[in-house]
Amino acid sequence: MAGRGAQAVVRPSAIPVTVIGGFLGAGKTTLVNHVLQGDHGLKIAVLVNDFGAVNIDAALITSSEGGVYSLANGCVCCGLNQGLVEQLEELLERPGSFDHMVIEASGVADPARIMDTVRYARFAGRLQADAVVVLVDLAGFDQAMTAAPGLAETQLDAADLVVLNKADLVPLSQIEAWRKRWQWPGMRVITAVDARVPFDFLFAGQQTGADRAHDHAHAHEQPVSRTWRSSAPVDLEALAAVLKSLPPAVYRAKGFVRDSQGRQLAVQVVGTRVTVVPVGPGASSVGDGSILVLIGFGADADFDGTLARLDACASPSR
Amino acid sequence: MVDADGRLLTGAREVCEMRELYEHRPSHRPRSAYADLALVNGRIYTGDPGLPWCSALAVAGGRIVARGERGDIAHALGAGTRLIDLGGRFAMPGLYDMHTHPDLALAPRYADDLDIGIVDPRPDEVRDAVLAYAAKHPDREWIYGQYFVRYTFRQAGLVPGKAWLDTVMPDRPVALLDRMWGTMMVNSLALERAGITAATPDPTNGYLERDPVTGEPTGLLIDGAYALIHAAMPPTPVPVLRAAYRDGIRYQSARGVVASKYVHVCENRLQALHALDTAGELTVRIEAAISWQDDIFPVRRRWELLTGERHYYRSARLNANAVKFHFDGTVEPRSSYLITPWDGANSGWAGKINLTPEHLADMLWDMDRQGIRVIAHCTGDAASDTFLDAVAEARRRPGGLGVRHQCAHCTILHGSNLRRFRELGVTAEFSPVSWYPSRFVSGARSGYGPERLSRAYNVKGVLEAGGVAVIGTDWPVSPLDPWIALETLVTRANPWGEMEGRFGEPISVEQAIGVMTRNGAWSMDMEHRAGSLEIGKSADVIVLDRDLFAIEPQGNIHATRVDLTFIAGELVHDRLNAESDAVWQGEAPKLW
Ligand SMILES: [Zn+2]
Repeated sequence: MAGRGAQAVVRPSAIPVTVIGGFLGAGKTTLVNHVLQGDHGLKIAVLVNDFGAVNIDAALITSSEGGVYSLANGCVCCGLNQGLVEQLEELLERPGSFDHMVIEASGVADPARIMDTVRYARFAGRLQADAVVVLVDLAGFDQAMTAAPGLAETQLDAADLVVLNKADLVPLSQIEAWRKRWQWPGMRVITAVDARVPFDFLFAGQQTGADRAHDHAHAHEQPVSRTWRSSAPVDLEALAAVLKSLPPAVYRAKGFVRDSQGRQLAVQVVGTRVTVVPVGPGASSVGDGSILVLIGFGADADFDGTLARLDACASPSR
Repeated sequence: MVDADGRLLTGAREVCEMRELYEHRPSHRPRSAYADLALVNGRIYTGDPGLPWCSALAVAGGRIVARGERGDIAHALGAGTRLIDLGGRFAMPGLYDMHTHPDLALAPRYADDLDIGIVDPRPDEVRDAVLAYAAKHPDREWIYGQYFVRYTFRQAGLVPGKAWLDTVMPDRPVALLDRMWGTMMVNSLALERAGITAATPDPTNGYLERDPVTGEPTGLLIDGAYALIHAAMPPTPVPVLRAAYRDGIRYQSARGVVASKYVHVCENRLQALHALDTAGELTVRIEAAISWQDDIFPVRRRWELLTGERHYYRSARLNANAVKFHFDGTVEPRSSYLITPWDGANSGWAGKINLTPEHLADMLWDMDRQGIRVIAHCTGDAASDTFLDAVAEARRRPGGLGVRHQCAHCTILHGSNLRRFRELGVTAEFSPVSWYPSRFVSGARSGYGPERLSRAYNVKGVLEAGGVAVIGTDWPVSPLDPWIALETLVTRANPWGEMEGRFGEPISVEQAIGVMTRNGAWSMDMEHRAGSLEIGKSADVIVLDRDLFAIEPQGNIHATRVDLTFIAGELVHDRLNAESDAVWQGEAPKLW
């Protein structure tokens, strides 16, 4: 980390951002509604590129002002028009902070460009890229592909997590065909019905209980998780190597580690996106040692092997 | 000298003779009693209220020496006079485009950068293209071009970045843009040349992708971070810029432009214009504005240019006595600097300026003392307000020369600033080519809100307050064609009828011609020498295929064709005669 002097230290108040992408009809709006109505215990700001397309239960809306709608569960929702930078600045200036921000990209947008903006230096310490989730309409993908092949590739490329939605509407063979044509080595893919993506995948969720979230959003399969703990200091280079090569069945890793110099670092992994940032003073929830939660799918999630490799990063002798 | 169709025939005169020195003659050299050029039998609009119309003009030494009816110029006609019968056609003073950037659109056509030319190149195809380009261009220090597709790297199980690119080309710097132009992939040598290390801070409008643990740049640069690489790359070469400007000049002459301001130039751009000038191909008078900030490309040796080297390029057709900078943003990303916040904003967001008012005031005064014109991009009303304040401050300080500075775009002006253009001697420049109703404009303008929109593009307001309004096409932001501007000034409507409605207050045909001729000359400090067809002024005449006062403006003015363009009596464009001795023949080239 010695070389990172020029980068701003990410304060614990940096708000994680999830970008949701995918073609029109892939289920982005359905997913946003799950978030707005979900019992995830988070205060969430949602930005959508076309507010009119989002049907929020009127009972949820407690007030609306200047295109920003406050919802009963503490969330706010606003329409995203021109000027993403300015819109983000405005939201950050609003009284009462958020735990998380979700941005719905338009169907023809490149979600990577939106996440790029979130990562601009001007937002350092205030926003933090969490994950790009791209929804794929299994039933309509071929059609979308024919219409705009480059765009489909661009959207997929941006994805830390690909959600194959409407899995109940297609035969298994079609899912397999999709994977064969589009999946790259290491792509994290889940199948879902009605865009029900576990909140664990949408939110970095240092405060969310994974168990709680699971009760309210159902993926086709249920994720499983394992926790790694260590009281010995962690070698960061070795850790980074492990995190960059997690088995494809491990979708997310999150937690805190303490390095050999005694610094606390927050770790987030979504797909192939690895973020390691120093934790500023005052992050009280962090204990003395290291803790990482690995979240994966299916029996082939090689947790044991990964846990062993993590153990090798933390050695009392270092 | 004309055939039955009114086409010019090649004269016996040597073509290059006239192009050599343009129109210079010592003031005490004896003059011939006869004109070298006479235009007769025309319907000539002079732009001079004292004599708005005439049918004949005589030109000697590049200047108008007589005008009126045929009999009024008879005394000037001699055996050596080139007589052109206009056959009743409409003629008027040449046009002034006071803000454009022809190099930005045209230079890439001649740059010969790497273009992989495959819709979906796989990594091995990218590799092969880089190697082939490198072999074909052994003298090129940098390998620069487009594009790669991140998805195909992922499909191949590869990670784009310096590690991959180093395996392809370790010993020459390489920079490749991705398909969406959001990411630039560079190799280690490129990072080294640009001085980029783990300690390099991110720019505000972009970032360097870094290893999460070491902070080492991975070789992927996002958005504003490109500038770090561009700054290390050699500037666009002079021959490329020369070819680009040549196309632009040829187009402008063919569309009747006799004077133009090229804003944002650097040393290489001045060299390119200078080369055209010495070749006799600078058929438009150019005021080139040096970039005050590196906001479009890095400008090397800016201070040397400003403090004196600009004079090296000076000629009858070229000067570099101006600077240009972006003072505020644009309407689309809502970064125009406004007096009251943007509509629909939840906070007080009112846009931004790129220089502090203090910086601006000192700079303006300093440039004013050197006789350098400041051209400031001001789209919001607060930007022009602040700019006019700075001019007022410069006028109060000692040593200023009272230079006519230029407020560019003037998209939204505050009502109480209208009179200040006249009071402070500032040119109000408008971009009517980009502000007629269209799908793009309707989307972009929504953020203004109804109140502001009602006073947008207020050409009429500036004119009524006694100020000087000019136009700029601002190509490549909007087409380089000044006739679109002339039509939309008069109609404020979509020239092709693609969209209903009108934006802003129209002005009359006569006013619009004044804006695009006489006012342009004023904004170039040439109103005593050019801008209207008066005795003693430069013979900058254009002959059209239609009479602007006799046609329905909407749908017609923009389609005007320019048959002949004269600058200082030199025939530079002849549309109808491919055998003509004009510098350029035929229709305007298609540029977009
Ligand atoms: Zn411009």
